[in-house]
Amino acid sequence: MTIQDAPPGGGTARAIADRDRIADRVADAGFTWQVLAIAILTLIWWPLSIQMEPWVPTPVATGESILELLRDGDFYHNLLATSRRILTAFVAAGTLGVALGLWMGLSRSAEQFFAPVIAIALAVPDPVYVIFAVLTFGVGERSTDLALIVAVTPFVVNIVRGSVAARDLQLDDMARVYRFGARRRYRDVLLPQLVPAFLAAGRTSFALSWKIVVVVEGLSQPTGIGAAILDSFHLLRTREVFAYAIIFTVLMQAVEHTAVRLATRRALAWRA
Amino acid sequence: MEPTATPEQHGAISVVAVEDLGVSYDGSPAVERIDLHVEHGEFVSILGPSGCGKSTMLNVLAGLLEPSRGRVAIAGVEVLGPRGPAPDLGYVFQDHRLLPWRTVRRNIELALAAKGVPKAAWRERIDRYLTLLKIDQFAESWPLRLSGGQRQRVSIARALAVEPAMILMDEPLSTLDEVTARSMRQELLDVWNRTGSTIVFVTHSIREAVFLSDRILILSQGPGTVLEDYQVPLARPRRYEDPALAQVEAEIVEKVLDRWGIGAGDGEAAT
Repeated sequence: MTIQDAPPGGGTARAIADRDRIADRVADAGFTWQVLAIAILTLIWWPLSIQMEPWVPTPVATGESILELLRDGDFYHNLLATSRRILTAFVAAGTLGVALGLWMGLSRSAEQFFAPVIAIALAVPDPVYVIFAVLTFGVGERSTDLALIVAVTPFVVNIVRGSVAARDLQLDDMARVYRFGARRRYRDVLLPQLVPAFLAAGRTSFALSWKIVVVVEGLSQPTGIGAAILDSFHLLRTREVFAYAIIFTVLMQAVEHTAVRLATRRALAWRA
Repeated sequence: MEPTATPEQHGAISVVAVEDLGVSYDGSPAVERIDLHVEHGEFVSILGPSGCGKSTMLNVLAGLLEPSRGRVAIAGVEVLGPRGPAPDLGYVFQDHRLLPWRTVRRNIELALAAKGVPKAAWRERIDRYLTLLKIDQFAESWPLRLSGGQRQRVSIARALAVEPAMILMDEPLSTLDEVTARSMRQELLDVWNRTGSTIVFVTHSIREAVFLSDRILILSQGPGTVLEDYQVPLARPRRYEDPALAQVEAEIVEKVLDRWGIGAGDGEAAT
């Protein structure tokens, strides 16, 4: 054994622990900046709310409104309805988008056929989907889900097919030389390469779903956070609009950060 | 000139039979006309300047590329390119080509499983070859945690572990630093001796070819043809620094100097 071949210091377990600690420290530093950004936003908000009274509520009024909402049973009812819709869109658009993205990435004819469709789908404004879904299925859960899924899926497809097309072709050669069958080519060679794309697609589809769901609900639903925001707007209760927006943002951010961080750590443990 | 390996050779069927091979990309030839026969247990190098079609030829042997002309057979089975069945071989690429998201053991297991080796035999076989390559302590490691030399050892262990009819090696030591490469060359010969494998080794380094091989197939500049099928006139074991080896090297340099053109073989004589 040469010097170059000496084992890299420490055990793997320690290396992983070290890396996680560093990641945590970076995350902690990031947290400080996030708090600062929110503080600055609040500082801008405050004089603005005094200036534009009563259309922009003060932070204090908004805070009171948030507490009121959190004590209100209707709020949880709406939150549940919206969450269910987001989850449906997330799962359905994820499944559809990954399947179609894989197909487009691997098959030239599929790519050529679907590329213009995806390009158009990405360009269509989201309310158009809502309107057409409502016209087709009438007002109801079905059209809400459909509009959401149709709006989100193209983004997932786009990320996944790009990543499939950019895969390491040399590993495909290796798999062929060693006679890997279709199952191993997918499970062991292709899919692990796509994990970062899946994580990105997951983040995107989640973020998009909860942005669009509010619009969809505003346009087509009697329940959900979007409908509640529209009600508050009609009654000119802007502090409630703000309160909904803030609660929802905090919740979604918390879900996203926790889920993404856990998934990343689990799926990418092999990275040196 | 049969090395120490198992002499169950029949002579009738060459492990590798390449006859009148030609390969073209979009009408322009990359390989013009190559004949090559490799017998069981032989160590044969393919030597040529950059762009002579060495890698193209290897891809044809591996079944990754369809020949435009001629016939290629490995262990008596014709190689037909990507549409045909994959030939029975191990391949050590220039880079390690391990799956970084699978452990060292799992990487080799995948090749064994694909080859149809029964699961019960995996552990013993993998441990045996990892030990042979002196990397048994890294069996459960992620490839990216290993050094370049260690990864290439895993890659060689994988090629050996499937116990193929032959092993192709495409400049496998060219990305390593010189000290690591030297010790790996020596160990490669030890492994070859112990396992009796048949090896076809592609390189652009004349000294490496002389040190390792029984025979050297010297190719012309691209599109490749065979300049000479050269029998290395040196007994084994050899020493990399042996003056006799340097002399054989000089002889080959002399042969190819004007054929490879000015610049193509630069620096090789000095290594």
